[in-house]
Amino acid sequence: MKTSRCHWGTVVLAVVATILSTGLPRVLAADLCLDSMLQNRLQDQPIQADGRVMPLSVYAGKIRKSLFPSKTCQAADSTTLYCLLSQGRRLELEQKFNCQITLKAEHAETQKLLGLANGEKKVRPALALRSRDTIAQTYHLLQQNGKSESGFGTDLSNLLMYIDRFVAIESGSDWKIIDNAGNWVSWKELNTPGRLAPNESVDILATGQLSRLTPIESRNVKLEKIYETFRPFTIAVVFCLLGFLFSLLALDFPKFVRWTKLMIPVVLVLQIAGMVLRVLISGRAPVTNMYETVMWVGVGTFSLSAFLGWRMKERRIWAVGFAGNSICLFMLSFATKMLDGTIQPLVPVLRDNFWLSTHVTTITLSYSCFALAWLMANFVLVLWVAGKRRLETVQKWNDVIRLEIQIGSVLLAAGIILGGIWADYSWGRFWGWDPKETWSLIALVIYAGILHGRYVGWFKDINFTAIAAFGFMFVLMAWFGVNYILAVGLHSYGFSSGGSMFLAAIFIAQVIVLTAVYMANPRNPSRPSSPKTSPKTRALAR
Amino acid sequence: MDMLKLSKRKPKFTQNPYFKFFASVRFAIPSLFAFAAAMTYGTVCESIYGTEYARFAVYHSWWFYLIQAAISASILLSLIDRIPFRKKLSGFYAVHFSMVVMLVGALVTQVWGIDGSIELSPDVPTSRVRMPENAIYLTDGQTEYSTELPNVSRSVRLDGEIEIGGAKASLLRYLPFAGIRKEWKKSPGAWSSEWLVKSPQFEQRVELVDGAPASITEQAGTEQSGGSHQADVGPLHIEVVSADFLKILQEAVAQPKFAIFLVDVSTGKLQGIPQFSGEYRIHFPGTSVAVLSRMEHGAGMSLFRLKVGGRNYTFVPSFSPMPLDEKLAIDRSAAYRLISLGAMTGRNTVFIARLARAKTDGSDAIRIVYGKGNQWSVADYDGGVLTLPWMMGLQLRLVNEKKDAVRDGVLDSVTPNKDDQNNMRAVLVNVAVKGRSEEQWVTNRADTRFELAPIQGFIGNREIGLPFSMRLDRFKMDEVPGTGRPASYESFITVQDGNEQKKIHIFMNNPFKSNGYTFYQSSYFQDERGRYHSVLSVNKDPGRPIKYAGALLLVLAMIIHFLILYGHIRFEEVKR
Repeated sequence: MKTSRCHWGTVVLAVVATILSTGLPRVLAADLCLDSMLQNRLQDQPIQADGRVMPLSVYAGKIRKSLFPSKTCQAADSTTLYCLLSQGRRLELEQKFNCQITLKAEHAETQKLLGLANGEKKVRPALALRSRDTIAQTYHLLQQNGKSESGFGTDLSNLLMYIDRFVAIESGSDWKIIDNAGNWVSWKELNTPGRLAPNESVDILATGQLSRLTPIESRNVKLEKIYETFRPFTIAVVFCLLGFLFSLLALDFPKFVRWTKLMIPVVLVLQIAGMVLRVLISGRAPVTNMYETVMWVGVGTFSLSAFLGWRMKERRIWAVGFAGNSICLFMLSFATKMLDGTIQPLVPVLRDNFWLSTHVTTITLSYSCFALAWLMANFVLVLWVAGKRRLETVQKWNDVIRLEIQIGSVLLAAGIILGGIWADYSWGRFWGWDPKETWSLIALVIYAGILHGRYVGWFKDINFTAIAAFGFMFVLMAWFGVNYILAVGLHSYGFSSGGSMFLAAIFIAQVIVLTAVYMANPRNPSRPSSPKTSPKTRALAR
Repeated sequence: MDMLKLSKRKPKFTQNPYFKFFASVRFAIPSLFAFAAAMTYGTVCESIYGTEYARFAVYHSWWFYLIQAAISASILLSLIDRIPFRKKLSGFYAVHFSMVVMLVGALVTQVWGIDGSIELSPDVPTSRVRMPENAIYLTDGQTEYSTELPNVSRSVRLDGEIEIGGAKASLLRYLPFAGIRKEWKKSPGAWSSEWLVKSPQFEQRVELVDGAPASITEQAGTEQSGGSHQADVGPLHIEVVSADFLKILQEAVAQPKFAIFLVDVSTGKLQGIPQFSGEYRIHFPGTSVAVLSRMEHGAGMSLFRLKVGGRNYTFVPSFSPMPLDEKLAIDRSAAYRLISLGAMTGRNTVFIARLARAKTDGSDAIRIVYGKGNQWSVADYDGGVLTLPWMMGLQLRLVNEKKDAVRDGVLDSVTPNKDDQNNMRAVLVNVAVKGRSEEQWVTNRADTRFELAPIQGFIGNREIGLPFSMRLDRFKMDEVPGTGRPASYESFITVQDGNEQKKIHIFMNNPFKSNGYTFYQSSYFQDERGRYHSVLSVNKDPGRPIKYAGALLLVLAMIIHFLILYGHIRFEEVKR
């Protein structure tokens, strides 16, 4: 009897297993979005949206971040949420996860316009759709009054974009998947009666999609999944901050030197891996937007500091490099409003261009030299204010700062020239007083002035340090200020918002440091008289 | 450099104190900082007043050239000052010499270079290149006269005189950035008012004119007008009407049961007409019977035919209360009006009128009729803020009013705004024929016609001719898959050079070169018929090889210069 019970039990198990393995997916087929077994496949589903092929989860995450307030339906993961929405099942979604889908409405005036309670930064889609005309009219009015760039105007135009995108999502026309014949079709088309058998759409979605893509598309989908899952730059922030901590500790506790040295390759490898992944996914050199320039400057600053620190056997340079890199990496990972990190198709003028790539890398590398010089100068200035006023130390650091400024100037000059060649090659003129061009030349001219002033001995000791620190403000202006503050000209691909506050904060901080140095400086300093200039440089100084 | 090497002695003039100053770093550093300051000013100017203004006011101004000349002089003199050649300064020579080469290249480009654009329309051959400079064109139909306008940012006097079309035309004044300044002008019977329309979300001023002479109201909508009798403010339509018309409106809105009203102009009486289909008979007291018949006319538009006393009138109330004649023109002299408030005003509408001596104390009153569809109210405006209830919380306030006057536009110099894509330029031209003369502004907005002589004038870009012609056969634009954004533009062009014909293909980063000119795909636009036109930039730059040589030399020289400087420093020295 015992054996027979055992036997029956096996049979029951086998039957259940069979049903589970064959019938169940069919049963659940209608519930594609909510099926936990299909979940992984759905997330990796290659889709075409915004002009690129990418995993559904990446796109869904992006949509969620841009359209909905941060805590919208947290219980549902992005893919499920997006899937249900694009099947037009919003009510079901809201019931199941007990939440409400809302769109972002961030400006107080927008809330007033929509009749929302004060401070309610979200709007129900139904209300938003009803108010679309009013929003559009008000935006039009702002445009006529030249106020479309104001906070309110930007918010309205964003909201209009969200509404249109939301309508596209709910009608199933926002994304495309590849069908058995290898054509890209939207969800809406796929569900058109007669196009497919009832369950076929689910089968298409769940099986063998990658094989139908071109090899590059299929590789990119896999890589993008990795890039989005591991976020190399965010991991690098952690190690970089650790490195900074170790390098500080190493000043007093020599055993941390080993740890500092270990962190350098770790951070570099992570950063370079991130960049390589980005290059592979986007299929182009990472030289086309603000996000990518920050990426370059981070790597450049860090590598230069690593090299100089090693060559001069001076560990404090590493500390400065870790600090600079941390700032850049931090911006990459968290300053998403200022730097848009999403990979997007290029505007025509930026396509396949050797001169552009070399121009941007040269310029960003020159910025990294200046950035390192700036951080070092401020490091010296802060020590000076704190009372550590050894003139020899300042002069030694100034030599390093000058070296960095010289390398930076060579690279900047080369970069400006390469930019001219690119402009000449692309639209037929070498120089046109475009604000971005002009500001990079301003930065170069300022640094040329600083270097000449140092040759003559006009700027020396702590004054040189101070003026070298201030010189970087012009680089920041050329790098960010033109896009975030001036915002006119041909380089419109980089324009975005949210950065002017950041720039102002840095500028004010710098002015405070310089004022503190000025206040700390004795009126009649009794310094050692002869400035340290070599015979060669003295020959130049007349 | 060879020349420098040859001289073994220091030339005598280098001992001159002025020479020494201009060749010294004492002069170089301030020049550099002045250059940086000037460029900063230029970019700030550009971000406030626009690219064009910055170009004229800064980058092409005399003082900006002066600063650049100062820097060039400083570089050149510092080189001369270091004659005879010293080997240890070779880095210095190389860097500064290559800058001189680059500056020479830039000068060559500035003087002999061409940087224009050519607009190719489908199947129309052209060889005219538009240059960035502006020019005024005067034509009498046969000959065209043109002269280049100066690159200035402020108004300047011109002195040019030509014989054209049997008249003497003289150019008097040039406004590189012109705008309309409003000025009060006498106009009996007119009433000008300026209103502030406010809602929680926006506010806007509107200028309205009633009873202005036709010459002004006809220009309504153009920039030179002193204001129109109506304006649209977001979701609101606002209109001033005559006192008589407002009285009719007021009477009409007092009878909400009627959908349309027939007005007899001679008596000013109006007759309410309920909803009907087919025919409706109206008995005017003392006159004959009128028959109104209704025809639906597509798109929900109602068309009415009124038969009275043997005459027929056709009304389209959603278009105008006045009847239309056979040519579909408004017949202002007709004896009847047909008003349908619902049809006329599909949206929130405010009618305003000034009623003469309507108040008890004999002063004028301002009355407002506002509403939408069949919901209307009447209010008297007595200063202050008038809130229109049930109309999105809109508020009206009279800011300014003037009787017997209109605000007319006068051309004047303005500082432009960067958002104005198309700055207005104007030249004051005097045309004299046999002792009589006429002054008019010629602008870049529309052709100006003179009355005394058959002359037309306009301002456009200076143009130069190519030695061959180009014709756009096809324009192709590729899209980024799945979006509407352009991925690439391509022009297929036929070049006709004498008897020779050549097919070429220009696209982004693939220019076409011929006769020293280079053509780049730069832009495109679509006309009202949906056809694509291609815009190419046209470039001729004889300074290019010089600039490139200088650039290459500069980068190499800078590297060498700093290597020499650091040759004697060992890195370990820096270590504490």
